[in-house]
Amino acid sequence: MGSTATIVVAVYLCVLLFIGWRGHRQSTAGSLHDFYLAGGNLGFIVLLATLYASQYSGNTFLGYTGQAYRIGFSWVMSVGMMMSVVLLYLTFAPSMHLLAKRHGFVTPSDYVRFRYGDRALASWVSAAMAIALMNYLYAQFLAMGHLAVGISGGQVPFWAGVIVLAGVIGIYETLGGLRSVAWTDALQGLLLLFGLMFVLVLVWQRAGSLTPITERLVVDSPELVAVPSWQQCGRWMSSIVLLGLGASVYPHALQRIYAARDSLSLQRSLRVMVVMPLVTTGVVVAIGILAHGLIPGREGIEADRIMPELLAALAADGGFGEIVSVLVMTAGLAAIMSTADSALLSLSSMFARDFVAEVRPDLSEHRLAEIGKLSSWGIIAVMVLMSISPPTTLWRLIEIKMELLIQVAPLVILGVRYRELPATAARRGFIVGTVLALIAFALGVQRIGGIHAGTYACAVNVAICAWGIRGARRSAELHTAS
Amino acid sequence: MSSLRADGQGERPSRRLTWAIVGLLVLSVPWYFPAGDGRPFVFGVPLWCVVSFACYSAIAAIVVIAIPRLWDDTTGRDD
Repeated sequence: MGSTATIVVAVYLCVLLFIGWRGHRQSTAGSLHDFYLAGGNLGFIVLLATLYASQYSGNTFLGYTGQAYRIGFSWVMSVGMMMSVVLLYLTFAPSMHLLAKRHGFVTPSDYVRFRYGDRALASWVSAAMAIALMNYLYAQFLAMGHLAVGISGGQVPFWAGVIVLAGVIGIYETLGGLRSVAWTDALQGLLLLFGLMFVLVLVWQRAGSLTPITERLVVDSPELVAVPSWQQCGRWMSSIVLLGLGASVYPHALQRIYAARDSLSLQRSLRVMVVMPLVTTGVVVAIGILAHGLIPGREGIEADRIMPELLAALAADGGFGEIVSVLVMTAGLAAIMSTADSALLSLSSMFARDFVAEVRPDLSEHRLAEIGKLSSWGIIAVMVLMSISPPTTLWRLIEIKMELLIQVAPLVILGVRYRELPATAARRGFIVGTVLALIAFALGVQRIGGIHAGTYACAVNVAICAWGIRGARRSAELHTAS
Repeated sequence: MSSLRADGQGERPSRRLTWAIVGLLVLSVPWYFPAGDGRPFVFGVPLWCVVSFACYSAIAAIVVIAIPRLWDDTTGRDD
């Protein structure tokens, strides 16, 4: 694939830079709101594209296919996991969108400051979200480097791939902010969706009917087909809760809710988004299972390379297979870059708004936006260095991305739904949940009875919030009675 | 298509629909299937997997059709 693929990717990167420049031309004001939320003017199509491209990352493309190959039909749970994110949006996004419009929120912490009037809590929430995002971004940078090596057939070294791709993201992002990111997301989302469809059709053509593959799996790897055990079902349900709560409060997801032009655009986008897991992760599961018919016998970590192996097999045929394979590799790269740019933009907004503006409230919006752009390059530099020379000790802390992030979910979601939720209960719930998740991580406890340790910690967090709501209601009743 | 009425007030969300979605989400996890090798198969897919996917499809259909009735923006409005 080497040379052809390198040329296709080079063209793709040039298109991204052009879109970034167009985004820059459309920018009107130098405010944080204009740069980080595209002036709050994302219409249905662009909003849908950017929600889709930022929810489905390179991991969906590469990691999820490997997981489907490794654990079999029960990976249909990934459809539920992705759908639960949209269902959770429905519980708070409508109201949060209106509040954001009315009060000019830019970052998730703006909502926390507004809702609870607690600057310390807002800072802690911002820190937890930043840690989770750093994890996310770091994983995307690593994946970009590996894919650059794979696409070029080894012609481009890992470090060069990371630097060039991160540089392109940095350029189009600092040129046009969310406007550029959302427009590039539209292109990247389309590539991902159609890329997966192409692979499914080609793999299905080559593998033939599914029935003989399943019959063979029943004999060779029965656990891939059998009814999941109770423990697996517990993990399934816990994964739905963990991903739903965690991913629905990703800072870049919340900022897209803020950035919707109006309620109708948001509603129409979510209406389509709820269907996308069926045609995205559903397709990924089908590819992972069918791959057993073409490339049998991969186990453990080898399964993670199943998608590149499938593409290599398609490319070996030459002609149409090679073209599709190159396009699909580019789609994989697009999926990774669209997630990385969203996370990067969100991180820089949090740095400018939640950190710099708190320390230096005298700075103008324009100056803060400039500082945010500079911080993007700083974050890119740190991430590139870490990707090329990965640290081993302290950095392990960020592995608990989702377990940490879901501790933010109760104070966001319940805070929107229940106006009685007091700041004290929200703060206590967040602190207790976070400490429990950190203790479980330090002790190396990942799951208990198939359920993630972070889910238990979140349940305690929710219980504290619920107790606070109950207490506040009782006080109100007593006050009314007296 | 919009959830917003002419007077600008949001409609109340349907609790029944919300519970139907939660129920389907619980049914999508095959805890109630007896242990077995996955048979019978439907076009090569185990029945429990077909049921699970059908539950997710039903949830998507409910949301697509009834999103205006699930759209609760009352907290944001009243604030």
